[in-house]
Amino acid sequence: MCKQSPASVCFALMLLFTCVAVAPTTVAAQQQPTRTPAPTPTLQCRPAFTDVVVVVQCTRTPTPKPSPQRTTPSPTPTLTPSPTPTPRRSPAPVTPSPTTLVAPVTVTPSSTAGGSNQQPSSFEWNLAVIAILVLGAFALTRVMRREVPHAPPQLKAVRDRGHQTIQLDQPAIVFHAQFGSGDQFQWDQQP
Amino acid sequence: MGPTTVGPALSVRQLLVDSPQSAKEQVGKHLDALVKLPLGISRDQAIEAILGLVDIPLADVIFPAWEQYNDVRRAMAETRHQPGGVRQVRVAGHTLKSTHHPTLECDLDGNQLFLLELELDLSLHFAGVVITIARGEIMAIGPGDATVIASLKTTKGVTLIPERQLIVLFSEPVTQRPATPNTATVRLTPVARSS
Repeated sequence: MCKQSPASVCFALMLLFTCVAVAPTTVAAQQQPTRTPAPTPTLQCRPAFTDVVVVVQCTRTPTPKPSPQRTTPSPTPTLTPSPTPTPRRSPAPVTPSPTTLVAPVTVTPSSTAGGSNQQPSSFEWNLAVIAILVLGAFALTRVMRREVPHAPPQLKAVRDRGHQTIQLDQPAIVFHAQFGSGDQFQWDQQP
Repeated sequence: MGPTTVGPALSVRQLLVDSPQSAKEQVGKHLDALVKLPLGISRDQAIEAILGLVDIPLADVIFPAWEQYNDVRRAMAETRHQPGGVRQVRVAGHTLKSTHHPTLECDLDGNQLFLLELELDLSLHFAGVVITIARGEIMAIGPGDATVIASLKTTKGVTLIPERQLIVLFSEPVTQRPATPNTATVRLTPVARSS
């Protein structure tokens, strides 16, 4: 992990974002210490990312002589016309101290100039940045998915028995008839 | 339009509209102006919920009203303790009006999104009908006929299903229990329609 290569940085970032995705409730708690220079593994990833940005700015410096290295978008200061690239910082040996994790940043300037196999290329750094973005997007989707626990809306239909009234026709009469010894007819109004 | 034969369990919904498709069209025409449906509630769901509110068996409306009629009450009392006793009472011409206030409420996490208060008006004029009573309760109606006026609107006066007038012909007795072997046949004859 402390090889000072983009792969190691990428691996560290994968661990970080995996933690964020698995436990989104502690995201804020994990991001807070990254801003402080505490010697935790998660802290060591942040300066590496910021140094990548600095290297990109170095590519904007105009160089009069076209060098074959310009064809590659390597954001390294080795684009300067100095034929003998002198590394600003020698590849520091890996030490168990947390400060050695900052070393990948210092290695990148001399990676293209020296041509050593241990120094990462710009392609690898691009892969690392893409991996960071993908992991960040994945973690963001996981966090946002957990923040929406809404239940679907429900429809409640309520009936009632209603109110019924009966109005008899006018005139409301009932015809009673009795047949027997003498026919009787009677018209009564309906109660 | 000629008489329409419907199933034995005549419902208020059948009195309001000709067909299920017509019911959906009429309710859906005014639905957007009444409520704003949230995500998760489809338009068909809301329409079907509204129409489900008027799926009321007609017997549930008119039988309890007739049970307050003196001759019917007397026949119910006479047959209650006579297992085989059956009485038929001819009810004179009358108008039965029934007003209902069903509601449709949409909730999301305990919050009310909308409340639709409806008003169902029914008016049934019976020129004369025979009521069959057995075991202390009304068992069937018919033969006879009734002129029905039905409408569905909101309590604020927005018409969902305009007033419709039709004649119901009880050619065979309409029973209170649809599961009885003698299935009733009811004919609906629209008389007029006004909005």
